[in-house]
Amino acid sequence: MSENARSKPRGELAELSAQLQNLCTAGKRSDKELRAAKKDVFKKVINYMTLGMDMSALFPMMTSCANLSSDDLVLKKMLYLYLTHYATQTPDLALLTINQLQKDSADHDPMIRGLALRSLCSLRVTNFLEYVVTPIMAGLSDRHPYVRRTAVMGVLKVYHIDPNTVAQQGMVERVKRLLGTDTDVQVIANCLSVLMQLEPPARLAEKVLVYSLLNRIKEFSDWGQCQVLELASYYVPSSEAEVYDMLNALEDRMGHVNSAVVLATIRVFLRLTINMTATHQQVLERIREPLKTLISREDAPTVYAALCHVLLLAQRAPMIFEGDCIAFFCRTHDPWFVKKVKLEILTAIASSNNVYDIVTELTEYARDISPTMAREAVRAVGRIALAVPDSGGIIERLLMFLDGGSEHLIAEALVALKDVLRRYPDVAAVCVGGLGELGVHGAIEEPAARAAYVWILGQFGTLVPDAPYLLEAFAHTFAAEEPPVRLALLSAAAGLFFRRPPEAKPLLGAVLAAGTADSDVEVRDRALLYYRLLRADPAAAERVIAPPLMTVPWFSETLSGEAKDAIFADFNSLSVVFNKPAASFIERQAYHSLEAEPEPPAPAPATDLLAMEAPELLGADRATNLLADTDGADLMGGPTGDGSGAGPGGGGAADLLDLDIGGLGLGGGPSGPMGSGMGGGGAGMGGYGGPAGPGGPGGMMGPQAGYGMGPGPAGGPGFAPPAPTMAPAQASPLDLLGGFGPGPMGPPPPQQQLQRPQQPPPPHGMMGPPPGHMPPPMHQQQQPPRGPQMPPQQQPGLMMGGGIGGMAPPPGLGGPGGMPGMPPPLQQQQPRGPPPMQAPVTPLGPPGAMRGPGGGGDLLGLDGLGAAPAPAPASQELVLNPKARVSPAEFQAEWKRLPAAHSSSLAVSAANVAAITANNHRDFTTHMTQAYIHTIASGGQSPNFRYYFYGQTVTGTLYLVEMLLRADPSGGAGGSATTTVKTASPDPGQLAAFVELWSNCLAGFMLA
Amino acid sequence: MACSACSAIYFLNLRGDILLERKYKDDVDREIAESFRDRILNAQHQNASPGQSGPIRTLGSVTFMYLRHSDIYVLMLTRSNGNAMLSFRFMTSLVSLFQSYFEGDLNESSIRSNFVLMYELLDEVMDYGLPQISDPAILKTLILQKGYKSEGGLLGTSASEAAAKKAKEAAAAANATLAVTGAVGWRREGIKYKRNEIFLDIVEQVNVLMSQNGTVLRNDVVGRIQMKCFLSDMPELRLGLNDQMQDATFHQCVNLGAYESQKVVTFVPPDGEFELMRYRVNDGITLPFKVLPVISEVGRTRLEANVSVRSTFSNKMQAGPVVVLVPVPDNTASAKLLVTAGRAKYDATKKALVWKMSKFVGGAEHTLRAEVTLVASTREKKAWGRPPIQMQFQVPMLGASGLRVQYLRVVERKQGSAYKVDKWVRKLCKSGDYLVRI
Repeated sequence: MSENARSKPRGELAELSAQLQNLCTAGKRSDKELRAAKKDVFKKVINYMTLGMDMSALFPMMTSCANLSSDDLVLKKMLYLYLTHYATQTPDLALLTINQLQKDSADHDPMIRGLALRSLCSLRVTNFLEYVVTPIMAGLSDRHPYVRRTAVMGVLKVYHIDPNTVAQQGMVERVKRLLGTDTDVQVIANCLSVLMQLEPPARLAEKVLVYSLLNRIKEFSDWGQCQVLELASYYVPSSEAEVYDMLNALEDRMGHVNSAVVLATIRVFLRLTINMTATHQQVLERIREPLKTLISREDAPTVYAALCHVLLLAQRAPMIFEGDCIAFFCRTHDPWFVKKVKLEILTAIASSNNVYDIVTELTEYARDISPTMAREAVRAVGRIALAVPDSGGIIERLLMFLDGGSEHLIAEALVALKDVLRRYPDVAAVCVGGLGELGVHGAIEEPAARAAYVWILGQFGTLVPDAPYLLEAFAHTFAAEEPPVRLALLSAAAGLFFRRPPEAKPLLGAVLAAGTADSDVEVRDRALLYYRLLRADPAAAERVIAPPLMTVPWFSETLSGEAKDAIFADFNSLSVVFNKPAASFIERQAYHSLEAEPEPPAPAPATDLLAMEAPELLGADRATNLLADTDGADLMGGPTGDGSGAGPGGGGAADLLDLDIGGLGLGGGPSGPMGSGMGGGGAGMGGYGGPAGPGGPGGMMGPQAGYGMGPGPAGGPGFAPPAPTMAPAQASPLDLLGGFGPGPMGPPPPQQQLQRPQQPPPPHGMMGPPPGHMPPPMHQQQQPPRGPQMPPQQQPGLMMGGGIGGMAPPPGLGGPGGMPGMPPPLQQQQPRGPPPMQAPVTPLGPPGAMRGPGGGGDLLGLDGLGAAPAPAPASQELVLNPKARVSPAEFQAEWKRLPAAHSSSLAVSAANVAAITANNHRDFTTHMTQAYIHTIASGGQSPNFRYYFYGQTVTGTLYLVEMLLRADPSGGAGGSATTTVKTASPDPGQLAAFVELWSNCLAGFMLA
Repeated sequence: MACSACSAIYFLNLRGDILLERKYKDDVDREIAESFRDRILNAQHQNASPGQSGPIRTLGSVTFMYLRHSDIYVLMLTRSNGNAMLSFRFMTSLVSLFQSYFEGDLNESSIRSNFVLMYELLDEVMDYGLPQISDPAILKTLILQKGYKSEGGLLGTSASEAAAKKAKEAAAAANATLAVTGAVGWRREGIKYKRNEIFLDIVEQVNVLMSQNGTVLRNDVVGRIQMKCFLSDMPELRLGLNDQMQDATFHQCVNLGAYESQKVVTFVPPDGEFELMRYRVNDGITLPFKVLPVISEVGRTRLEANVSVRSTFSNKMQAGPVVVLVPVPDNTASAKLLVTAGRAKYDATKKALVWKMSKFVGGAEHTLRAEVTLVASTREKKAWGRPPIQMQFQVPMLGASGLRVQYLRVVERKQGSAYKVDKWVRKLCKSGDYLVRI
């Protein structure tokens, strides 16, 4: 029927029009017949409207038809439905009905008054506002609650058409008065809904209101109760006794049949007690059973929503559900999306107490008929093996999947095993022995699994007798493999060559030959690099290509603590379901609040957080996937691609290679420390370029260098300036090191600034600010006097690591390279790294994440560093924990408790104020995060801004920082920044070191 | 976050055609809803697992939340960081609201014949994306139209009937909103029955997973108490239960405070049928059936199965239809079956031996013996997953959780002891996930 109608709407329209016309006039029928006939036609019209056909042409007929039987409620409702649907489309015609609507809104029947009022407010035509205001105002004081609650909603609708009207008429005040005085709960609930959209709920949640609503909560409808509970969750009780009163009053809501009420109650419980650790713990215990009941319901969507919330809680406090793992075991008939969340929960709550049960259960799922489920189960076992230290039994399970499982299980298990080996290299002796018999080359097709297998063979080749020959099979099919496998194969072959030279030599030869002729840029780059390295200095090559495997101490999590807190604050919303801060999936609302609302000093906007954490996130992601080795390919993308892609086109390959290596050397100089921070992952970030904060300077420079150099040969003349930098690279590794090694710690002297302008400009013009290779010459010049600061034996490692990091494609390469080079003392330097990092990063960083090109300023940053090394050795070592996590609540408590330990003030130019506050403070906070000084809050309005930071040493000592930034309101001379540092640390030396670090970072950020 | 307003509600058929559209805010349009078909439903089909992707999806900045009911989808759109739980609850309550109006199921054809009524209801249950009143009992006094029970044409007689009853119902309408505000919004004053009757059904669903040797790996019971009340005036009921439950949720009529303090379920019931409570029990469960499977693969082409099922309940009771599904490998060619009761056959689509018994008395044991012939597989080493045996059954009058009704008292203040009530209590034990590993 619908298809038919769609095909000839014109005919239908004409027919309906005629029918309506007829009904307007024909008077022979009885009134009853006439109404029935009208309803019949109206229904047809609405049916077509529903099908999406344009019925707006019938407007005049519809109205007059209905107006002639204006006492018929059903007809009226249909007309108003039609009207609200087409009013925006045909405002002129809609105007004809205003009169009738206004008349109806004064009808004696409250139902009709309400209906008319609702329709009036829903017309959404700005010009009609004048006709709407009076009925709303009358409606707000109507004697019937049905009309009042409709009028209250009308206020919100008008607000979204024109906020000024609402303000002029004082409607909000009227609604507020109703909220306090009305006797009807639905009216109150609507007032609440409306006000919570117009004002920040925290401001609305005053004691009197919250208490009076909670006392009456049982009278509200389910939805009204949810609204009241939502409001209550924003209430900040003044004392603990108050919290207990509220908990007791609301406890019975957990037994409500409506799951929305239960979850809203849980939200209130969690939020009320967030600052009371012991009580919060009790609350978590208390909500466990209700949550388990929610997840045992029959309708899958409810179960899914509940599970998402359980997952969030389980990730925050795994112990709560530790004993309940059985409740999260999958049921046969659970839909896949439910099973998936359950697997994630099981992974999150796995601990040494329940791991046996969980892994046994997961092993059952691995036999599931659905391959997706089976794979996900294996993946979960892998994740648990990484997370739960006592992994003996778990690894056996993984090996069991390898043994006699189907192809997809073996593939999954290989990938998981590779991660386990990176985390616990010691278990290799147990697991890799049997790998030879798997026949992976012939049986497993997935690139990720093949790459993982190749990596394991390369890394642990000494434990697998026929490893070289197994890899040779891959070498034969080199061209047919996917790029990640080819990359892994290059690294594995080269690595194995150092471990078992005689057997692996043919393999390496074959792979290098195939690799240097490869069409994939990354693969060819890596092959050429290895080839050159091996030819130039085999010993150095070994350090780069096959350093001892470094254990990955932990795999970073995908979400930052701040982002998690932001999600937790939005408990009972879609944020939790998506596990993303709200800002990442909704648009900023065009209308939000009546008054400009000062940005709360509480958690910074979610996007901010994400951006800030991006480096870690990226690094983490890669890290979990794989040692940079195999996986790197997709990371490095941009920079290297550009560089070498352009290169071969222009110059001869050999030349290019030399240049590249040189460039790498430079860029990479500082990369050692970075590697140390992050292990393989760190290198990965380097490759990625941008905000690899925790990673380190080397990585960041790496891509820069690659970028800068790459285009050189192709571009010709532009390349000249960097030439000097190359020279040392080719001269000898040690020289190079001498030159660059100190990069991270050795502060380039002020002259640098002076020299900078002397540098020939072409590179700037050509490839954007390439500070990456500019500074090095200066380092070199300045270097000798500072040399002694750096333990000489570390230099080679550093340099190499850096070199590769710089070349970058191979995040993987960077990783291993960096590892040997990262002696502990360097780690200590890392926090000071950020300022120099800034420069190279800027041009490559993801847009928005970094301040604009600020080469000069960044160089200045280096200045600041100059002072750094001095105090550090004097006092106790200050090593900040890159993963420090402090919740806003803890921060507030500490801040209140501690006295100020240090306070200082400095002048800030207007440009710097702008720079600090630019991009929603993000640039600045990102900058600070690179030094592991984390942001807890930032905000304010010109001229006053406040920032709160914290840093935590690896020993757990907290440093809290408040910075008040005051811009000169006249916009003239600039402003000032007052910093207050608080700490519980008894060590004045460390405090000094921290303050030093802080001021250096601050200075480093400012523009000259 | 507080502004969890829904932008629009759609009803769509399984192909994704829009059956009904009700927009509450202006920030979405029909094209967005149509992208549901193109990008969510059709994308699912490509993955060959319809209904498997999550019920919440975001495309651009519009979030789609949907659930399936019989042959339709109910879809809710929002651009805010909405409240997922509330949205799903609301959609479920919409479905039951329409069911109660239609006095039948909500499906594509009932939507087509009732769309005007549905528009009316959708207008009342939500305003500008915020839920209003969705309780059928209250709405029925606001909206006088009735649903069309079946596809009896677009024009029924109900409109005229409604007009005839208008006088009577107008009075009810005047009370409608009062009812909401009163302390017992779910019950009208002045209900009269000649004979006062209460029916109380305890329906329990047993979930269990047993290992091969009969050890219980996990089990729980999810129970519901369903009531039918045909009681005059304003009676208050007190239901005493032995405290067996891990956790319980109650109908809005139950005084939760009284339950928290005295463990007595106290309530003024709605008129007619409703679900009083749901509960969950983890401990002290008696399993109605024990299953002992012995399944052995003999060589590569044969499999022997010996499954015995024993009922543990009293021999005065008997289970209704009992079905046992014994899985067999994919490459099964045929099966020779021998059973001591009922009938069994090999079902190739289910990849299982299906054993059906129309009844199963208490304290009895029945056995299935099967010799399964397998087609020799070409690929080596593709091990059979050995999925668990499933069992389906219903046992009337059996309580698996140990929950007992200790008393059910009815007090009507005005009539006092003159108020006589007939009370009926029934129990039913059903299988949920009843699984035995092999």
